Parts: sequence; structure tokens; C-alpha cells
Amino acid sequence: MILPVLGIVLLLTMILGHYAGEIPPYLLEDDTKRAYSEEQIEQYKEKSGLNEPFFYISINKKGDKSFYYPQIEWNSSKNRFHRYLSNFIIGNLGYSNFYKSNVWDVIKLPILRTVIINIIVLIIVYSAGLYLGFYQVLKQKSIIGKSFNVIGQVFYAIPSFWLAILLLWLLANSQNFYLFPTNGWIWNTNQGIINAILNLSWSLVLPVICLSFGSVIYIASIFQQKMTEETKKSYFKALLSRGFSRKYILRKHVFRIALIPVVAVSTDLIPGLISGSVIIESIFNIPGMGRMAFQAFFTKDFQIIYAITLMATVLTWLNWILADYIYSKLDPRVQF
Amino acid sequence: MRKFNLGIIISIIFLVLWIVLGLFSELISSEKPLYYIEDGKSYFPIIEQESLRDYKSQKHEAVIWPPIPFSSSSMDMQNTGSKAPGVMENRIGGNFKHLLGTDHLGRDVTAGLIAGANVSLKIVFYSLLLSAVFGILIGLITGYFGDQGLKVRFPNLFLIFSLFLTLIFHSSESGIMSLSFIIWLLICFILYFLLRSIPFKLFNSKKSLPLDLLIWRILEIFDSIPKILLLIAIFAGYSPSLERVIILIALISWPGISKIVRAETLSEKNKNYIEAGKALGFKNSRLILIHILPNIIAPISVYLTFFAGSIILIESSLSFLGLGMPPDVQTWGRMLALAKNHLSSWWLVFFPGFFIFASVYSLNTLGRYLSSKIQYRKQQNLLI
Repeated sequence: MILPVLGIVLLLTMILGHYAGEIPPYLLEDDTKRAYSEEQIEQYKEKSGLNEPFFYISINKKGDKSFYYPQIEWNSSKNRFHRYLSNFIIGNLGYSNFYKSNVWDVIKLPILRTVIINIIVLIIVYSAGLYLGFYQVLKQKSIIGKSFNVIGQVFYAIPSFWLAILLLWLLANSQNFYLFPTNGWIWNTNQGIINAILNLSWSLVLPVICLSFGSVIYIASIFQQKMTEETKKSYFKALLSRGFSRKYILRKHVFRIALIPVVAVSTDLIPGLISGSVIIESIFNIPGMGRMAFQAFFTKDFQIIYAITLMATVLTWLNWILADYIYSKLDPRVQF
Repeated sequence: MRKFNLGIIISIIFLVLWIVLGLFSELISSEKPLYYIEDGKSYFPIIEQESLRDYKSQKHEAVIWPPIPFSSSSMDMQNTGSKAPGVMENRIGGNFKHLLGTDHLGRDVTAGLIAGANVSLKIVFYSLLLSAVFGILIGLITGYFGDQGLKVRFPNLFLIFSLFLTLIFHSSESGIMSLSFIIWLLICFILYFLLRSIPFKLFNSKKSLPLDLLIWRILEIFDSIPKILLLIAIFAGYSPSLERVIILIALISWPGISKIVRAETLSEKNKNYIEAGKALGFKNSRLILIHILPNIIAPISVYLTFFAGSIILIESSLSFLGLGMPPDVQTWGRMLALAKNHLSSWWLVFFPGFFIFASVYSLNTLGRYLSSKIQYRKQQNLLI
């Protein structure tokens, strides 16, 4: 199933790249003069395989007769799409002309950084979200429980980039408090590895808050809704009448049932996080996957764009499979 | 007696403010006066669409300025370098106050916010309209017919497919009203009638088309691509414009709408009145459009308010990244991106972000309120 999906995603991005113009602008013109001659551009095209047809079928609209009927040609496997997909499967992601090295060498560190940040964010989202939801149901009658919904609705509407700028203004600004660095990724092993990790985690505080903020409230509200729904059912009342405490029933019986919708919505979380990390990484100058993709679109380094889009798709699919597996563990009626 | 709901009142007030600012942005913030008298004659420069000249350095016999006497793109040379709220522009025509300050180029922040309201209102309205029409149509069809419901003859399918290909092929280069387009249309129809006339079992028998499966498998794949990467990829290659933003946002958000429409249709199509309609021999199109659609339009319109909020978020995050709208148009996201480089000026940090937040919050609150009303009504109906 993953192969046709990758194929379709690659086709979509390649069509976009094809129509956006695959020859990078810095090859075509410089600020003052034309940097490369026609011959060099031809050589570039030949080297990077741009002379090959785009897809298995090519529709040729040039020529006199094509005004009345398109000339459809069959290109067999000698096309860019086939070559790129087969190379991708054996792990060869192509050659980036902007960075002058293999694409994998360019994107492996940014992907690692983004994955590390997103794992931290996911851990925080699930622990904080589940705890908040649980606490709200437990303390339903108190002021905290009642005000949870209102505060959650207000916070949920705060866009992550506004939150990021507000936090930068408040906590990373010499006029107010200068607690955190404005740079989101500081990695310096001069003073030992432990110091480096401490510095890194200190610099990651603000980006992680911005990325996880909306999702925490989302998860908490879904968890809370399902739990309150369950507390109205008759088994809950039966257990209460037997003398079990409310906290015990919630933890032992309701928790597991209420996890099911939380796992179901986790499939939306990962694409959202990757989208969010494009913005957050560009605000905090984190050299991650999202910022690399964002820069690559402006240098028209399409090899990197294809690789990152496919990687994001693979990550999303891995997450879906994991979510399906957990779902089947939680709800034995569902077959995996 | 329902409880007094403060959130819904605040959000309706804000929505009205947003719509008024967006619709009348030309009248509320402009460099031109609303009305002035010169040489004994009275002029209405905004309505008469006079070309812009330096009104502020001229003396008029009588003049009425708009509430914000600045436009979003005009630069106040006296107040460059982000001045705090309340700073004045001294001109012959009087002192003009920058209510919410200026940015580093001397542009008025209030005027920028009003221009942003106009842009976001346009984008939300048109892209919601486009995606709602398309999403409701696809959702109704896939939900109603399912995998077995739609039975088609092969020639009809061929006709639709070939017409689609013809349209796609001609829309890019030679234009729709060209000779080759007409010739191809003729060829399509001739082939269609030829296929229909073949007395062969395969062509004449009706086969069920797995419409639901086909469309939702494709949309699932579409779901797995991070949307903002897709949007950035598109905007990197094309020049920015309002129409392009509207169409692309509509393209991204229609699957979500049609998912909800499909679910509503699925629950509605097994009810008794549809069976009765079928027994009376009504056509599918009548059942879908006249009987199912009015019944599901209320919950759908509730969801549309949530979608409006998400459209504002997508648009502002795009313009925050510097994509989407052309660079001379002020949007909330673009003003917020300015604040990133001018963190010391709090009015740039606070106001544009607050407008994005408030519009999203009030749309969400309105949606939540309406959905609770609908659920209340449903429960009442069930009791009766």
C-alpha cells in the first residue's frame, strides 16, 4: 500500500516542480550578468536527467498536426518519475545542486533535529493533555474544572506563530526578560557533552511550547469529553454505588476506554506538527526539516523538496500504522 | 432557562466588527477625505474614485476625513522607524493621530489591520463558497450512492472521462473556444453513440461503480501530505495573487467538508422518508437535492464556521511566511512577520496577532454555540 501512495505523492510534487520550472534561477541569471552559458545549462540538464521525459506517457503538443490531435508517446521506464522512485526505494535520494552533495547527506541532520523536537512535543502533548483531561473530570465541581472549558477554548484559538512571537517578545527580549535565547537550536560541544545537552534543552523550551500548545488542549478536550460521556453510563453508577471512589473508577475503568478517540485523532497530529514546524523552525532559526524545505523552495532545489515531502509522507504513514496497532490493543474488537 | 453566555456575545460583536471593517475598508481608512469643498463645489473623492493626490497638504474650505485618515500602503515620512501608538502626523490639514502606532516604514498599523480584515474577509468568503459547493456535492454523491448504489453503463463513463480529458488538455494551451476543442467534443460524442449502438452485453448492462472507495482512497493519500509543504511548493513557482490563494485554499479544505457531508448523508439515507421517496419512484437527483440536502444543511453550516476559522489560520500562516498575497497588500500575517524583526515595538507584536486570534476564536465559539442549539433541537424532536 505504501508504494502506490509514495508514487502518487511523488507524482503530485513532481508535477508541481515541473510547472514551477526545474532549472534553478541561480543557474539562469546572476545579479549582473548571465552566469552560465546555454551549453552549461544543457550540460546541467543532461547531468541531472532533466532531458528525459517526465512520466511514462508524454503528450507532445508541439508541431503542426498536434493542433488537432495530441501525440501521445510511451516512454517505457526511461523517465524521471520512474528513475526517482526506484532510486528512492533503494535509498538513493539524488544529488542536490545547491549544496553540491548527496541529498541524504544534506537532509539527514535536519530530519534528525525535527524528529527529536517532534518526539519531545508528542511526549509532552500526550502526558500533559491526558493529565489535564483527567484532572478536569476528577475536579468537575471545582472552579478549576468549570473554567477549564472556557480557558481551553480561548487558548485553542491562539495561532502558534503569534504565541511564538509573544513569547519571544516577553521572554527573549532585552526590554522585558532575557531568559531564553532567540535561537532555537544551540549545539556546542566545547564545554563537554552534558553542558551542550543542557544548553540545547534550554534553547528548545520556547519552540516546544509553541508546537505543543494547541495539541495539548485538543487532546485534553477530546479525552475530557469522552470521559464525561462515560461517567453518565450505568456501569459507572453501579461501581460508584458499590463504594469505589470516583478517582479509582476513572483510573481503572474509564481511562482505557477514553483513550480510544485520543488514539484515533493522533493520525491528524503528525501532519499538523510537520506543518507547524515549518513556521516555528523559521521563527526560531532551527535548522530543521521544515526550514530546509522552505529554503529549498526559494532556491528551487527540487531534489530536496521531493525527498522531504516523501519523508514527511513516510513519517505520516508510520504514525498511522502505529496508531492502528495501538487502537487494536485498546479495543480488542478491532482487528489489525 | 439557558445560562447567560458571555463568549457568544463577545464573539458576535467581534464578527460584526470584522465584517464591517472588511466590507467598508475603503471608507474607513483612506488617504482621501470622505467629502470636501473646493472653489464652492463639493466632492466625494472615494465614491467618485478620484486619482490620489496630496490632500493633506492642501487647504480646503470644508473637509470631512475618514475615521482613519491613512491607507495601509502610504508611508508617513515623519514617523518612520516604528513609533508608539498616539504619535501625530503634522500636516496643514490638521494633526492626524496614528491610533495604534506605525511600523518601520511609517505605515499606519490601524490602516493595515483594516486592510487585513478586508483581505481575510474576501479569502474566507470566496474560498469557503468554492469549497462548500464542491465539498457538499462530492460528499452527497459519495454518501448517497456508496459503493453499490451508482450503476452506470460503460459508454456513459467513457463519455464523462473523455470530456474531462478534453477539457484538461485544452484548458492549458490552446484555449477552450478553439477549433480543436470543438472537433474533439464531436469525436467524443460520435464515439459515445457508436459505443451505445453496439449490441453487446458488456456495454449495455449496468455495472456498479465503486465511487465511494475510489474517491476516499485518493483523498486519504492527499491527507498524508503536510498541507503547508504543498502550499509552499505551489507558491514558490507561481506569482502571488488573491485569486490563486482563494483557489488553493479551497482545494485544500474541500475534502474536510465533504467528509462531514458524507457522514451526515450516510445517517440520513437509511431513514424512512427516503425509502418512501424511493417507493414513490422519485429520481435520485430529487432525493438528494430536495430531500436530503435541506435536512443536513443545518449541521453542515455549523461546520462551515469552524472551517472559516481554519481558513483564516491557513491564510495568515502563509502570509506570515511571506507567500500568498502580493507584497503590496497588507495582511494580518504579514504584519505579524514584521513584528518578528521589531520585537521592541509591542503594538506590532500584539494587534495583528490579536485580530487573527479573535476572528478564529469568535468563529469557533459561534460554531460551538450553533451546534449545541442543533443538538438541543434534535433531542426535543426525539422526545416528541
